[in-house]
Amino acid sequence: MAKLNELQVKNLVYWFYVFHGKFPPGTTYDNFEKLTMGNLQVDDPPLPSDPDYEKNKLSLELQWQFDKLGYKIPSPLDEMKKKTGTLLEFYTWCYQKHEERPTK
Amino acid sequence: MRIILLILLVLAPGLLWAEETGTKQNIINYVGKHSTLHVDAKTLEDTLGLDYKFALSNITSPPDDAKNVKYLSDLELKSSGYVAAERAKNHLDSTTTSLQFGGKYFKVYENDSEVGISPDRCRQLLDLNPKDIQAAATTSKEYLEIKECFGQKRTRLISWDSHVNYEATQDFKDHDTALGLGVSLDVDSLIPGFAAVLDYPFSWLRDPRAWSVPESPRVYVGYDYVAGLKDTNRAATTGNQDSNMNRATVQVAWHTLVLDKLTIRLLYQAYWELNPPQEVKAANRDFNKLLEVSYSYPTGPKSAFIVKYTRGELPPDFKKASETGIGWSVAFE
Repeated sequence: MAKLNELQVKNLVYWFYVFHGKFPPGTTYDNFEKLTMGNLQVDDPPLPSDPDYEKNKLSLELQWQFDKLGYKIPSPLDEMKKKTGTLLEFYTWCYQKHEERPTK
Repeated sequence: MRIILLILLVLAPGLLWAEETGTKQNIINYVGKHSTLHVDAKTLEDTLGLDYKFALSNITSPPDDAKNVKYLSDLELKSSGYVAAERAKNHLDSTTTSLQFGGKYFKVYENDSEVGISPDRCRQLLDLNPKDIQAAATTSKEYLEIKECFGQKRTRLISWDSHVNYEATQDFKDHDTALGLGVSLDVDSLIPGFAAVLDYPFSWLRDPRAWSVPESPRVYVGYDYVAGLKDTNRAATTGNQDSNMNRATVQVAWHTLVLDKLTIRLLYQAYWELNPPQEVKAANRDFNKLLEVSYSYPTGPKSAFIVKYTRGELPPDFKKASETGIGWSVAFE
C-alpha cells in the first residue's frame, strides 16, 4: 500500500477540522491553507491546570484517523501548538511524516 | 524571592557549563520549540494589567495503537497569573508556577462489529474535491461516506497529573506551595450531547452554516495539600494559625461563537478547603471562586480586541477582586 499523496493528506486534514468545527466562519476549501493554528479556536480559553487538553485530544484523534487508513504518524501536538503555523505547513508536515503502518 | 534566588544559585553552575560546552544554544532552541506564551494586556483602573499563561513541555509520542492509548507525558513547566504595573491596583494579584508530571488515557468508542466503510474506500474518497462534496446536498452518498470515514467519533481523553505548584502574589511576598493530583476531561465524553444543549441558546445568534459543532466544556478536578500558609495573609484575615490545609479544586473552560466572529469565553475556578477550621468558615475563606467572562473580536491571526470581566478570588491570598478590562489578546510561539 502506497503512502497517501499530498492532496489526499490535505483533504484529510481539511475534513478533520471541518467535522470538529474548528474552522472560523468564512473558511472554505480555497482559503483554509492560510489559516494559522491561532485562528482555530482550540483550548480557548485554556484550562489553567491543563492548557493543552484539547490539542492533546485532537492530536490523538488525528493519529487515530491515519491509523484507520493504515498509516502511522508521530504526535502532531507540537505542530498544533505553533500559533502562527499555517494549515498548509501542518498538512505538509503530516504528509512528510506519515508512513505505512506495519501489518498487525 | 528567596526561592527564586535559591533556584538561580542551583542553576548557575549548570548555566555556566551550558555556556562553555555550547549547549546554551541547544537549550534556547529547545525552549523556543516547546514553549508557548499567551498574554492578555488590558486596562485596569488607570494602570496596565497583564494576564499571562506560559507552558514549556515535551510530549512523548504515544504508542502506535492510536485507538486506545495509555501513556505518560513528560515533565511540564507552566506558569500563569494576573499581574499589573501597579501592584496596589491589582486586586487579583496571583501567580501560579507549576511543575507537572502526568499521563493520558485515550479511548475511541467504535463498534467493531458494525460493517463500516473500508479503508480503501476512505482513501478513494480523499481524491474527491471537497468543494464538490460540500456543494452537493448533505444527504448525497459521497458526503455521507466522507462523514462516516472522517467525521467526529465519540472519544474520551482523560488527562491526569501530579504537580507541585508555587502560588504567590506578583511581588512574591505572600506565597504557599501546593502538592497534588488532578484529572482533566471534557463533559461530552461522559455526557454525550451536553455541549449541544449548553450551546443551543447561542446557536440562534449565528449562521448555522458557519459554525455548527458545539464546544464541550473542559473540566479539571484536583486535590492539593497546601503548605506554607503562614507566608500568606490567612492568619491575618481569619485568625487561624494552621500552616497547611487540604484543598479541592475545580476548573471549567468553555467558549461559543455568536454573530459572525464574536467569541464569548467563560473560565471558572473554585477552591474548597476540606474540613476547614471554624474561624476559616466564619471568615468565609473555606470556599473561594473566580469567574472570568470575556468577549473577543479577532483583529489578526495573532491578536484580538477583548473585553474581560473578572470577579472572585485566587490563591495564595484569595483577595476579593472585581474588575473589567479592555485591551488586546496576543499569542506568542
